[in-house]
Amino acid sequence: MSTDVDVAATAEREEKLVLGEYQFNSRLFVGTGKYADFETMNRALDVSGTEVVTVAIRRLDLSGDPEKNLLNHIDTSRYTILPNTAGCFSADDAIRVCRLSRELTDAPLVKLEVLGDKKTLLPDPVETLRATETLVKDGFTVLVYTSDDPIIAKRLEDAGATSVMPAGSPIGSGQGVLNPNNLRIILESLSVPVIVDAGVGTASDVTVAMELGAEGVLLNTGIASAKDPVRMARAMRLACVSGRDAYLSGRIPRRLYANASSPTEGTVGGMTNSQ
Amino acid sequence: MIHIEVNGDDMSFENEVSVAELLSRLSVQGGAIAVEVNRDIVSKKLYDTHRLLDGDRVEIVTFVGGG
Repeated sequence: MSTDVDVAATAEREEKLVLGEYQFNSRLFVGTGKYADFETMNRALDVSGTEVVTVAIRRLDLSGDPEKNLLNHIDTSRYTILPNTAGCFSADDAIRVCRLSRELTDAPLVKLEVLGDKKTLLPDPVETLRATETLVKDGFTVLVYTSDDPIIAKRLEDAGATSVMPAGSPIGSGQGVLNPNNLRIILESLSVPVIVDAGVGTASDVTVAMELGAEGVLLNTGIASAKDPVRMARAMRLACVSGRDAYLSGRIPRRLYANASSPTEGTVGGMTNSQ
Repeated sequence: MIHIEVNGDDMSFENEVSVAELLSRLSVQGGAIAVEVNRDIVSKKLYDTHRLLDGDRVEIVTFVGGG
């Protein structure tokens, strides 16, 4: 495990991810849905190295066991709670949920998602923009889920979003980053941190997003629904750090032809290309 | 007798109740919840004084696992 420690130490030497008044060392945001049980969830969160966990807001189960309350199982001194507006299909509903979220956390941080329909779970760009405008005016720190369309991404930044979070591919689909070119355009044209949210199926998907220059990745199903969520959480953490390091290192350009790694002079017997 | 809708279910009470009394009768701990009455949030410090009226619609929400 010493390699893990080295990797983590390297990551911590880097600049932090800054989102408004929040600062994080880890660039991996992890959801709390779909785990088999709280113990597995907590082990996965621990191993993932995340500092931000997403949660949803729902009616309290009045006949339920208080022991099943999520917040009784999450160390809020360790993890920043990022409430989402999942299940909202209009700006008004999402704004309502954000206000409830602020009452619950006493904090302005929200993950805004306003979806278009239940089958695709693709974001509704018009309602998303409208909700962003209202929430920003209302003092929220808005991390907004959107499609990978560069124009709407820019509009959300202009509306005052703290972070714009394009989907790599549809929520829970595990298809990875389907349109890296759109992500590159978004990354070039926005100044706020861009976090790739949704679609991650496996570790290399995280690395692809980070190598493109994303400031972070948010995922849930890729870990929670893996056969071994704890091991996958570790893979995702390492993938995130690897991708960030590769991005910051400045990769070599792609070339059509080979470029020898060993010296071309002084080969044994004086062999040359021309002979 | 007054009727209140709580999380979509009808409940009836002999007399008016405060939010705090409602939560107590439902055995709900005050910690990780937020309460709305007729779509307006009732802050925690008003639980004792906010009286629920006949026909009020109450939502009691909390966090659950999600992405």
